[in-house]
Amino acid sequence: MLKSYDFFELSDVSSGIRDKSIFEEETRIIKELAEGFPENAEPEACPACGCAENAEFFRIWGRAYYRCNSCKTVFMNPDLESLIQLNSDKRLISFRKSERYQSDAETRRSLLWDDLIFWLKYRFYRYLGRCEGLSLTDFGSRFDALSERLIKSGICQNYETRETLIRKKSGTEPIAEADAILYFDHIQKYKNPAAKLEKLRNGLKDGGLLFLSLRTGTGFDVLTMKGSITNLLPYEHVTLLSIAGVNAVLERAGYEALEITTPGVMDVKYLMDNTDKIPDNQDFIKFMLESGDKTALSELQRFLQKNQLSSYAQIVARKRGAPN
Amino acid sequence: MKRFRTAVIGMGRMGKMRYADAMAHGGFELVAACDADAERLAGCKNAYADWRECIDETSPDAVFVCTFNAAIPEIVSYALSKNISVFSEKPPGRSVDDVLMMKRALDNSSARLKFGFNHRLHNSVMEAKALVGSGLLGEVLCARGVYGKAGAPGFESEWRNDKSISGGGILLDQGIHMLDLLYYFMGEFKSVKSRVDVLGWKGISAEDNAFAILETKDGKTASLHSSATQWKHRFNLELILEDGCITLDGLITSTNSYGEETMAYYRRDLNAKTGRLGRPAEHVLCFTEDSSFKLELQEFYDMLVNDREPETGTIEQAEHLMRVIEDVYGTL
Repeated sequence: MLKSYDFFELSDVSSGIRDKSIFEEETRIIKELAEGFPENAEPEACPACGCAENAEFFRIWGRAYYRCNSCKTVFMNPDLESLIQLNSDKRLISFRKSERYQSDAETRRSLLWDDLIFWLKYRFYRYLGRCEGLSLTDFGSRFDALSERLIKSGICQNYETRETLIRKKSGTEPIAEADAILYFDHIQKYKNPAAKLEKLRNGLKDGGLLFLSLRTGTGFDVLTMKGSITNLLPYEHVTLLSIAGVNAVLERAGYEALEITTPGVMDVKYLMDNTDKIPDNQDFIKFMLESGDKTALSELQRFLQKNQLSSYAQIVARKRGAPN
Repeated sequence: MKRFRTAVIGMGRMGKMRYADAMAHGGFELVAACDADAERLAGCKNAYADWRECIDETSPDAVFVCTFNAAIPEIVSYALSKNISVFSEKPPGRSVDDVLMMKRALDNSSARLKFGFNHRLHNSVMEAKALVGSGLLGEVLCARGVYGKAGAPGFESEWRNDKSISGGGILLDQGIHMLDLLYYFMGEFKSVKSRVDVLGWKGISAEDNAFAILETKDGKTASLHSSATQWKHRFNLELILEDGCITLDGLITSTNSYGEETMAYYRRDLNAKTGRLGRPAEHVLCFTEDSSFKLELQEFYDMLVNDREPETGTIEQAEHLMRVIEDVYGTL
């Protein structure tokens, strides 16, 4: 299996991927909504592997996250009505579509998106033998500028966004079966990720590619911070698949995993910016962050990436025959 | 699944591996194994000491030839003359004359021939080839290859260092793989400047170090260092392209001695997006397993099933490599 990692020195990511005040406002909106939702029932089984043995792992805003004893996926068990309400909330949608939100993302993520598009072209060529003239459907796209870049990149002859705030389309015909589906930062919103991915198969050519990105439940920041973490939002982050969980979901949904990597660059920086919130029993990690120099901490991030321990995962999978 | 009656000639380390892999594949019916050393044939069905008898009596559809370099041309040519398809280990004999002998046999045969240049099917190489092929980093401008090992106790008396058996030293034994990769990424070479020498292993008749500067037909340059005095085993190939560079470092092998297999790429960044000119962002792929031998075997099987030419390890590629090697040795 391929493992990949990008080496970034800490100073290269000093600006962060979003403005603090924007994130705080987004968090506030989601928290206000969440406080109005009913209590969640205890889950019956892990949404990734189906194992019935799971235990409460931590709470955020009083809402329980559980951890599967088998595959280590971390998940909550919200009711569907609450999820629908969150995702259709006009205030949240309006905020995310605002000029302020969109332009901040475009400014801060420009280099990351440039790298992402290069990486997409490379992987398209690697697995499909071409990186131009493809038909792409992009689910859950949140950033207008990224969609624009994808359209202008030369990758797509046809491009469509779906299940998203950002309506974008290029090409003349609607896409019945795409060469590839982009599913970035979207799968973590769902209680039943395998069912979602299985449904996507109808819109993908045989041998077509599925590109996923997601927050993992086995990442450095989640496992260190647990309930103290500030960038995990109940109802927004419902299922944090572990790497084993990703494999289980792909298998169940009828995909062959081609590569699963964790190229995240923010884990160490996030903890360094929140050392006051690191739980008291994490003495070694606190000491490492306080005493490590820039080189050592950059190497720590590289170690996390290389060993699938970063909290951000990128997956490339190929549609198989009939699902299992 | 169609099965091909198959014999393995030469049951040293490579022959044993091919025998086991062919058996596991399912598409090869192992009907015989041959080696002059009877101890190597323990457990093999239908064992032979003489390769000609092995071929004549079992009439296989295909043979794996895994013998000393000196024996390869005759066995390959004989099998082809019987319209038996052949998978032969590299190197393709000891000289260009050996390759031409096999080429003549192939031209007069209805069978197929493939040589074992498995390095093209290592994960890092396949990834690099895809990146080069995509054009995302532009054209290859130049390349540097280093491939070396430390030898072993008793290295001086190995057949690989006896020119009368092997045809050459470390370049023919191991460096040929790196040469093949340079050829794979850059195309045919039209001229060579070189030096070969015995630097560390005194008393061997073949070289333990070969240095070459190679030029392609369109004026691109590659350098190659093949060494048997590389006390810490090394595989490193650097490709410089118009808009970036690719570095292959390490290789997954049976000895686990060449380090982690990685492919790193860097995009040319004169605007210093990382804040440091000359230190662009580094993207690394690393691999935890190697399937090159199995992919090679599958390629041979597909070749037989579809009755078509191989994609890698063709006689034309073999001839070009041997011409370059003889050029490096200064024997042309």
